[in-house]
Amino acid sequence: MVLNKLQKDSFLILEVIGDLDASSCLVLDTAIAFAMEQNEKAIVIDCTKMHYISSAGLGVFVSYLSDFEANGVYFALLNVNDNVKNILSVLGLEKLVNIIEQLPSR
Amino acid sequence: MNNSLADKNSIYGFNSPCSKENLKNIREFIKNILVLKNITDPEQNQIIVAVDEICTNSIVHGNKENTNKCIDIYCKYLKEELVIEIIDKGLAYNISNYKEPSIQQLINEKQKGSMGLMLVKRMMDNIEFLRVGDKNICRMVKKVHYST
Repeated sequence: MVLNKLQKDSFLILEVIGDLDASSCLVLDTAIAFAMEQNEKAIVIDCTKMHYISSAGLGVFVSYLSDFEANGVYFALLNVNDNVKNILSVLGLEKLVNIIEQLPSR
Repeated sequence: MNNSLADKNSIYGFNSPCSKENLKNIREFIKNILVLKNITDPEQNQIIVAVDEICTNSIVHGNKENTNKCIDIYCKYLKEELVIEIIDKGLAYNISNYKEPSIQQLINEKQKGSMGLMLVKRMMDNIEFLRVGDKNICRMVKKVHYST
């Protein structure tokens, strides 16, 4: 898995390329932790090139959701494929996480 | 994958060291078996995720990522079902101790884990953990549909 960091307007975009599983999730976890330390207010995970996610990857998002809310951080998953959407919905996470197809205007 | 595996009575097997870096190879093995039988999505992805989750637990918790240890994975098609067994010799897992948390509870507690077995139980039709001699066997069954 490769993680690219991009800044676009007020958004920090973390682009996941490849599979987000137990062997790679720590990279994303560290990037989100750093973003929170830097007081980023809008974090978007670009899933366009993320082919696969396991519970280890989902766990990274879930573990920060309360911090995002407490700190007023906008968080979203961008361009999620059908398989990832299905996994999110099996756990009911699609109702708790913003899933977007393009960046909102801010 | 050689042609003999195309026989519907075949048992497909894979052996992997207990390393998280091998999860991708395990997923590739399962995907090949599913593609071979034209299993439809999202069943295909759900089965891959379920195997990944059980193997991750086995590698991380059961075998402490000891790469000198191995896990074996066997798959067999039985009519409309796919039966998968994941076998290791690590610490046994007692599913009777498992209490499914709510997603809200995991969010409130900032938990990164505990969702793997939740996913497996919701996506597979049956899962059981057996201890046979010095082996742990996780057996999962999923009804499958073949695309034409």
